[in-house]
Amino acid sequence: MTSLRTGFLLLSPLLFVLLAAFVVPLLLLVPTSFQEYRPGQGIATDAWTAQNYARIVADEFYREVVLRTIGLGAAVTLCCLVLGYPVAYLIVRGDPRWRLPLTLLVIFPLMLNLVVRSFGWIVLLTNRGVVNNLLIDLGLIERPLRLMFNLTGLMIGLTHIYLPFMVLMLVAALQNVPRDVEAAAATLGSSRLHVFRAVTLPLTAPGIIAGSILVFVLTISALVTPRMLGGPTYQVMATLIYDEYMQLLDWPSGSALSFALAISTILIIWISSRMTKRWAGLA
Amino acid sequence: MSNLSLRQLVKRYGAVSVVKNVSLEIAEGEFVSLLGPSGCGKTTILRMVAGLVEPSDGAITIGGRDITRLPPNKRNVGLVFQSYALFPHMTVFENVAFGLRRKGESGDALAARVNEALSMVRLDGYGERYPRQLSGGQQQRVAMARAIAPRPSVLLFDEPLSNLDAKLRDEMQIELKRLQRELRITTLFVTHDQAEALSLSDRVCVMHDGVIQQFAAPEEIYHRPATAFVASFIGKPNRLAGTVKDGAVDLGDGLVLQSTGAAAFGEGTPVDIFIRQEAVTLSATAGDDGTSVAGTVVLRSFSGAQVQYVVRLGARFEVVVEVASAGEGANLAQGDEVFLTIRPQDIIVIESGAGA
Amino acid sequence: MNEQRPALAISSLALLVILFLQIPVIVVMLASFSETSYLTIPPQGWTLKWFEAVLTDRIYLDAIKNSLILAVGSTAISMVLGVAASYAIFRKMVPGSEALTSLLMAPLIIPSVVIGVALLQYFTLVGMRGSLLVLLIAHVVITVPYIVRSALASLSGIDLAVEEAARVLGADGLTTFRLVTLPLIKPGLVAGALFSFVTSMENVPVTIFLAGPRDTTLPILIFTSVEMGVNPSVAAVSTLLIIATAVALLAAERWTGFHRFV
Repeated sequence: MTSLRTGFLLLSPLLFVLLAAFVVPLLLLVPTSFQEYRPGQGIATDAWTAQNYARIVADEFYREVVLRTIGLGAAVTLCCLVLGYPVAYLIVRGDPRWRLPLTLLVIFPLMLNLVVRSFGWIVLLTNRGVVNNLLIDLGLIERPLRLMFNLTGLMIGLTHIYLPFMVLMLVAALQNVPRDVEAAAATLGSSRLHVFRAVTLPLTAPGIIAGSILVFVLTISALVTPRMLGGPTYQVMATLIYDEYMQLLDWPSGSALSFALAISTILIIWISSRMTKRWAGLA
Repeated sequence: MSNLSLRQLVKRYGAVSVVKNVSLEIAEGEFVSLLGPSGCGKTTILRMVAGLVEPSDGAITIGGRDITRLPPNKRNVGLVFQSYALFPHMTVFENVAFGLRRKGESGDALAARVNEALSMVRLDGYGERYPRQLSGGQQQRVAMARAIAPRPSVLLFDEPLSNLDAKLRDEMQIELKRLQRELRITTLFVTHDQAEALSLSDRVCVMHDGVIQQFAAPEEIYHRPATAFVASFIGKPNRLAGTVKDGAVDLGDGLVLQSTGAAAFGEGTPVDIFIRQEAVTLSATAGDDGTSVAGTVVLRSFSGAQVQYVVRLGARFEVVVEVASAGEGANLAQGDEVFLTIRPQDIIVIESGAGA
Repeated sequence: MNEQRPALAISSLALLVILFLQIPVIVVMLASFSETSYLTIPPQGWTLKWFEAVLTDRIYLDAIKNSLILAVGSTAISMVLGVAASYAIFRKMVPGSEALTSLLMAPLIIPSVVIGVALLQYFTLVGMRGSLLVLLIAHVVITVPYIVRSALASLSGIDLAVEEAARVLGADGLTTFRLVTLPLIKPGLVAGALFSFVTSMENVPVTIFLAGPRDTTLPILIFTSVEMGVNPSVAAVSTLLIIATAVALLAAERWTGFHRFV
């Protein structure tokens, strides 16, 4: 069949690139993660070991980093949801004339270079930064608050970075809520708050879940913002992988951690898409 | 010569045949409709003629030239889509010019032929507009102009009027027929609307389940349906079951209907009879020629020019009867006793089990 | 009918959040024009000296050049390969279109840092580390999902009959694609290209593992230089990026109604 041949011709260049520079490199990471790193000697190729994986849960330092990453993911997701819902609501239900400018103001930070956005927060949050200077000038504090290299800084920075994703997901979900259904609830005697709780919120649940999954997955795999605002000491999984490869040269540990991270994100996305499909089937 | 001929055309998808051995000869300049319910294979046949679907078996020729395996761009056919499929990013002019450009037309000659096509569909001066700036009816005309501009040897229509509202549809029907008569292009018209098929066509091909049921002139289809499917599909018929007895049809319960068609069947043959709603007259007294049966009005519904009744016959049958609201029997009430008179030639008799 | 608008409290909160989104942008821009090497509100003295410093600094200029080469090059390659592949998948020319789509979108799901370390090890193994070509290949991998996503979405939005109409009117497959399909998916592709460009332009997690000392990109330069403290030149180069981004976004919005594709 000619269409099969045409299709193969159209697909093969990209498939070749992806196989050679994506699939194979990832697969080659598998053996590395079962090798042993001996300080001062390098990577031992003569023995296989699972201790790189065992360490992720057994070692106290690793466990702390993993738990911190997950906790950060959950907290950032919750913040994005709480802050993002009113924005999405205003965009969809507010004055139509403001819809486009507000949408663009949400998209703009998203399109802006991640490094630049993180740098902006450094300027704001550092010891001699805008926020501390302002607070000192106002006489509210005497010595600078520690806003960076800790949970506060990462929470603020990551929430800012991933909030636009959440807003856009919620906008899409809210646009799909038929106004007639809300009007119907209102005519049946619901107050505005009750309409929201009984109709709008459940109908936007798929968008809430999709947005939350997205923000969670992006947060736990983030490298740039945690590094810039957390520094070399306040580690998350991605920054630890970075250090293990670039500073410690412990590739086996780094690759095991990489797989732990990649498999978590794939599982989360896979499970959530399965669940969403099942719900769609019920509706 | 651009007669269109389909020979033993078959289309299978896996184990399912959607077109089963269809042969059809359409003369040059003839207007033929493929009529049937959705899923009967009519659109698949049209798409096979256009080259958009590859036949599993059989042959298609236009003017004696075998086009069965040619790609659509080598066939010189014109196709009007149900969705019109106008190019939304091109002006009306460019839409109509598209086929002509593919044939190498350009410059003044191209403009002249585009404008000629536009004026045929009465859209002079609309060339610079975009499809989205036009009404549904105007878009439909552009689709027609685009199809006829390259002077195809065969014109194909895929339910072109089904997206228009009723009033516009009637107008477009007349226009379409006028255009086809003017151009004398061999035309294959796919529709599920029987009125459209009957009024437009030289001949109608009724299809069901991938098989041709009857291929004949509109009057023939209407008055002398060849199969039970055609009889039940055309018009708005009541279908009753009975047996042939003394050259009439016995429905049981003492109900006997005189029918000229019954004579063709042997005594005792189980038959289905089809009585069109509009073929029945209602009166308060029985006729004297034995063609009347008694019934009771169950429901009356007035719809302007017509009044429809549901009339119970005996214990087992209900028939729907439609009479002119200005004529006899228009003012009966629920519960009234009436006599139904049906001319013996208006009762279509078909042996039970013969087709659908 | 009187449509109910959001309550004042909700609107105010929403506007505050939108302001929060702009704060780092505003601060960076103020910092870049500020006379002092750290920022105060209000800024003390205005100057363009940081811009001058950036635009005369070879390191910055080389980084900007490398970033642009990578972003333009990877977007162009991703566009050609991605659109071709998407068309074949959309038309179901080959079996397994769902699995193929998943594979093409996979670089979006795998954390970038993981792709980064995988490519670091791989290119070290095959002895290709530290060249712009390696970075270009890596950037194609991470940008192609955006092209594929927008191409598939745009393709599914066009009426199949339009292509068939072109075929019946005498156009061959390639002509149909060129004259009908491509113009119809163009707005979506422009949006996808912008995403691809931005993704390449801002990438750190993959690039940082692969970039040799001579092919540093702009985000890598900013990323590494802030480890040594806040520097107003970084603010100046960031301001240039902010302006470029704003202009690109507004142009894309005017041209294609960009916000519909996000």
